[in-house]
Amino acid sequence: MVEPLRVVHYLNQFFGQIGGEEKADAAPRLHQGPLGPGLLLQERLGERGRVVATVICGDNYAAERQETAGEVLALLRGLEFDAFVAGPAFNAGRYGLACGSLCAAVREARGVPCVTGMFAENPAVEQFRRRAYIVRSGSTAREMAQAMEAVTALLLKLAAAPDETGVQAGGLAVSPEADGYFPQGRTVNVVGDRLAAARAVEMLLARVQGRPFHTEIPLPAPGRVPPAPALRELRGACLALVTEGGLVPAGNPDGLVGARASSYRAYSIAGLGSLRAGAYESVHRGFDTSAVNADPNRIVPLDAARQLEAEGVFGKLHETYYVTSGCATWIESSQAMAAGIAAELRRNGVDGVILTAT
Amino acid sequence: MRLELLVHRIRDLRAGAPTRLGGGVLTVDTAALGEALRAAAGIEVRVELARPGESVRLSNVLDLIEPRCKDDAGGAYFAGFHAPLQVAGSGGTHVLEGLAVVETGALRGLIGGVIDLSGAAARLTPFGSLHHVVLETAPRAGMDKTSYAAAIRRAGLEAACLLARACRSAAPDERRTYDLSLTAEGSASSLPAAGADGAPRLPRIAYVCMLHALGDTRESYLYGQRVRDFTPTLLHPNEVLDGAVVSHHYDISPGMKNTTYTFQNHPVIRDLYARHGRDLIFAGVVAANQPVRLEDKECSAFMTARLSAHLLRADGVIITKEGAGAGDYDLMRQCQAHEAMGVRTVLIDNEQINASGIGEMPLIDVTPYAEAMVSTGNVEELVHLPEVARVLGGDTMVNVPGSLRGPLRLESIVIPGANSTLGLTSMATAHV
Repeated sequence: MVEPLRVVHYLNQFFGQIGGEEKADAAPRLHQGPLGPGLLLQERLGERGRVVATVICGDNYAAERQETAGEVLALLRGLEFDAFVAGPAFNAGRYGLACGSLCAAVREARGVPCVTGMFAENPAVEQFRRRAYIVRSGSTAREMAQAMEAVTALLLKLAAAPDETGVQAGGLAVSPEADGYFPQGRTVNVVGDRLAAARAVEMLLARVQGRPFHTEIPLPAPGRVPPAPALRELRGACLALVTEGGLVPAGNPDGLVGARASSYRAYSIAGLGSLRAGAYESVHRGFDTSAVNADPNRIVPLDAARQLEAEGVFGKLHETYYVTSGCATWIESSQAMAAGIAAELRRNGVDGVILTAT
Repeated sequence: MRLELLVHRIRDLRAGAPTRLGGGVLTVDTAALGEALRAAAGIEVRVELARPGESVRLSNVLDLIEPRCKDDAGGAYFAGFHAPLQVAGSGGTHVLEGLAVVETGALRGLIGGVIDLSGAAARLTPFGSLHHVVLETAPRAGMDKTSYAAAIRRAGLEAACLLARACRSAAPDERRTYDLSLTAEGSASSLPAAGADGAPRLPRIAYVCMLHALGDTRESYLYGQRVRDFTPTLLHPNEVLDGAVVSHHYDISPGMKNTTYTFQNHPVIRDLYARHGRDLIFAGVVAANQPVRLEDKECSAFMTARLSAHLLRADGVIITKEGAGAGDYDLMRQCQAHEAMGVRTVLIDNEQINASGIGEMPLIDVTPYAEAMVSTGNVEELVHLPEVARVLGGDTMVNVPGSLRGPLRLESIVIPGANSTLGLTSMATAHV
């Protein structure tokens, strides 16, 4: 006999039977055992689980205070429980935000399965579906029974799965299609029953014959970076050299990685007329580095820049070059590195950048 | 052009002398084979055997090759590379099915892979269920990675040929015919003509096989020829199935390369053959390169698309790639070039998201035409590998911390074949 699941349930002031809108400012409180819709939850759980406590909080209190989630976690600190259910919130905006944020917070802090339910148009769905399991529900509490059924079914599955997902578990424990929750924006590997090549041929035949098909890799929205206005005058401008070519001092003293970099390095070129072969190496893993290693100036064009600086084509060269490895880089990492380098350049009065890529 | 594969199914693998095949049991004289390979390749080679289901992990895996030889007097194989230049894809070819020669080796700059032969990880790659003749190699003192890789390549191809030649007197278990003048059901001259008898015209489908051409240890060879300065060319599908393409990827992550074994058992070509004359007309193959320079990439895509559109008269093409980011660029250029000439496309690719799977794949180039793509999985998802009794290929790897005995937690990209961009994998993705 499996131990019954100890479940904590979250409700707003209305469903928690404190009062109506006049009690919307009520602070979170803990009630032993189930209450209101929690009785239905208990009924659905049957022998498999026990609603050990109910957290009740006013809608305004939860919606207006960022610290509410922390307060609820504090209330639960001494309590042992295995799963968390919030709502369902249907199409209620403030209640939805509270259910979404608490499911996310409890999942992250306590590592237990957390499930809520909402109507598709509840704004909290878009805000929290990536961090919480939100089951698709009807728009009003008239559909409480079906919603609680779906919430309970998903909760029990999650509680039984050793690993929520994962290709090695022999398939997905849960999926948006089978379990009716809003997709969390996560891609997981699954072993299917057909070779990818066969799927490709089938997809192509469908496409050629005008039958419907579903791409397996949704195209990313093209990110657009508006270019900075052109420099009106180069003669007084300070220029910097920036590269994603992985060029570092020989031996890579600061340990720049060759792929999937999330940080950059800065090296002084003060007093140097060019980069000496042998003194630098590229650790980049995405291109044949032999030409760059033979002449490092071909990825960080210091020799040419010094010549143009001497000729007065531009004002002066910034005496530091910035480098990372642009190979299989996560977009978030690229954005963070770019922001960091740009801030340093701006602080140092740099007007323009020669950005060399591989 | 008719290719007949004389398939010998390998059901068990043992050490012993002489090397021979009987009743599905392959006996290998590992000492004699090692000696022959040392002589052929000029490097240290030790031969080890491993069977599926054993608590064995293969490490530092660089390439896998299916043992083959021709059914002629010489029995030479891998035309243009390891044998005289002759057209591959016709006549008889002996195949030791269920067996792979595994090249292993470690040197700064080479990037190896890991294959488990038991447990859950074995099911993530088709290579996990094969019998393996593992070549444990070591470089000569002072050898650089290019010459070491070339020597390993010689050892691997030689081993594949020697093993097949030693077995070719055995009666094959199956004869598998590849001939475009036959339908999938094997009937000759019944390929429906365009619109004949009011039947709907079968779509003409071609396959664009892009080959990496990025450096001495990061490329694939066609008939022993480098494809760096190369104009895309038409191929008969049998040529690919019969050893015309040899993988030479030694310094790229396993998840981003195509092995020689995969070309020999090319899943797109085999699937198109399986539906030829029934659901589609297999119009042919174009071999295209993935060159280094941007303008060459554009040009390669253009030169390929005109072959698909005007010579093969394809309604649609499957396009595959090798390599990671630059390969995605090639994939998108090919897609765009084909669609612009009215040829529909489907692209096969794997995804590099991150370990959590949260976020978008960082494609460096996107064409809006790329609306039909097949995913062979997120190469960065983590895989748990248990402790094993035996590791072949070396107990350490530059890209894996700790002992290869395990337990290990590795990205899927380290497992050859798991996320194959030729599509020889059942891996797919779910969006949850």
